[in-house]
Amino acid sequence: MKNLCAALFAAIMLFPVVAVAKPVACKYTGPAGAPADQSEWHVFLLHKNSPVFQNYDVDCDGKLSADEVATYASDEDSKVASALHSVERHAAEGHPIRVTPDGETVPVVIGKNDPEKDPCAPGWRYLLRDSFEDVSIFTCPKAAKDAKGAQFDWSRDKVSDNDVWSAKGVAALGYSVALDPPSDPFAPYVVGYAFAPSLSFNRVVNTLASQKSKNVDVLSFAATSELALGNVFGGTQYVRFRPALNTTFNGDPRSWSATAEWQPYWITDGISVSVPNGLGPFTWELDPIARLIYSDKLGDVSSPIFQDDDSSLRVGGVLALTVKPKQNDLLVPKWLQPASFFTTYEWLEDVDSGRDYSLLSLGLNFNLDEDGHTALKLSYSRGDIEETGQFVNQAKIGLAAKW
Amino acid sequence: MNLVSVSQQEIENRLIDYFAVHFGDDPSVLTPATNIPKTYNIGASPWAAFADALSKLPWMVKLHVRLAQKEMATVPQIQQLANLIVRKLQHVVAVPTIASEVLTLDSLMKAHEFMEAKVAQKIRETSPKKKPRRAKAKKSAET
Repeated sequence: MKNLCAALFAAIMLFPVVAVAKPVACKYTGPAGAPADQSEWHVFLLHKNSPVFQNYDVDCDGKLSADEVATYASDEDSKVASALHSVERHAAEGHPIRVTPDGETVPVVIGKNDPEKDPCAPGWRYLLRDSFEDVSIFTCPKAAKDAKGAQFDWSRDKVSDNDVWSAKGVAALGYSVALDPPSDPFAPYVVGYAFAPSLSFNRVVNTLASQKSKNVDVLSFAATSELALGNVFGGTQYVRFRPALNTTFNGDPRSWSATAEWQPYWITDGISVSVPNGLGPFTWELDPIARLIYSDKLGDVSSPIFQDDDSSLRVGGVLALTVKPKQNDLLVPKWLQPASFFTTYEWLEDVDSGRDYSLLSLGLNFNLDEDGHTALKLSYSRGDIEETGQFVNQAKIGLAAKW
Repeated sequence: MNLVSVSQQEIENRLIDYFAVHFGDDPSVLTPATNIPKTYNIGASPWAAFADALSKLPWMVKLHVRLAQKEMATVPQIQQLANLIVRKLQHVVAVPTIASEVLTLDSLMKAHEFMEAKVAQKIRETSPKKKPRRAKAKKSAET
């Protein structure tokens, strides 16, 4: 008897996943499987209206027998087993779960047990972001909520009678493919690849003639291809290649360029790279990107990057730091959770002339909606624009749009 | 032959401990219902990278479970992730003759750590002791 119990126990433990009830397919006697009479219609409508009847009225009689009710109760019990364990674990560790006046538990102990819809499913996706760094990885881009987003601003200086319009961002249509890993968790492999045609824009328009020198006019058409390699150099490595045609908003070509990038992801027991780390009630993430850009001048244009030659080869990198509050009511007050601070520093050196180009961007985002598609954005940029080398020194406050 | 019993709750506990340590929090702030990427602002691609990091954990290697980066986006909650791991477990049905043949995952990992320590100690004990260099130099000078 003891052995039988042990065997039963082992079998239960080896099959911990409880079978979820499948919808019952009732057979009706009418034409093409439709209900034939009032009693069949009663059963049909009960099953259509109620998930409980749909899943547990196995004999399709429109009534829940004692056995069917027992199966339902057993399935419901198994769904809360995890949450119950959580309550017991917290109580045992001296941190009992609280229940708020509106009936919610703190921390949350019950949730879905089934996989969610894949936001990074292979296929096409549309993106509207601040920059390529804000897209992050084309194979599985940042969620809109976590991105800075494209920015559109208008300001009016009544003293000098000057209106300033500005728009900055990247619109892209990405296609990605994800592959299966090998069974050996330590073997190198190709995680996936992506291709994304894109349009990046950076436009500042001053209506006052004396301020025209401060205008910025860059419209770039690019196509990014990306390859993700897993278990290489101790992490996942992303390599990207992006040819681009840089024009003005009038369509005048200024240059073409080819950009190669490498972005490492390392998860360690100490400090992780390109992955958030914990710091009290905040998380911080450091994203390094190594970058090589070759640019070639088109037509008779003057850009700082072409002041020595008609072509330029620049090498350098980008370092981005993002600090955000942890999204946990036990650690951070709810009102502070939509805020985020970001700073990006890009540094490039022209291989031939030795000239340096750097651009510092920093800002504060405050998401205005739950999904983070709109945000209030405060930003400051100082340095040389990557595409042209033109110097900018801008402080902005405005709305950010992210998709 | 020893069998290992693995429950979803055991895996949830291990995952809670792993993420609590990684983000410097007390495990009491996490529950199986916690959405890890949402709580810790983890983007989709860094969250995907955790598939490889988790697959290399000693207990995951012991269970022969390999997570794929492309599946991670669908399992943001601890319990969903644990459920995915459980679904990937090889379900071998064996009927033990005595209850003591069934180990819990915790016992297995403790036994594994104990065995590794024992082997390391044995290697240390059996490896030939190096003679001090000075004595060796003196000996060669004499000859």
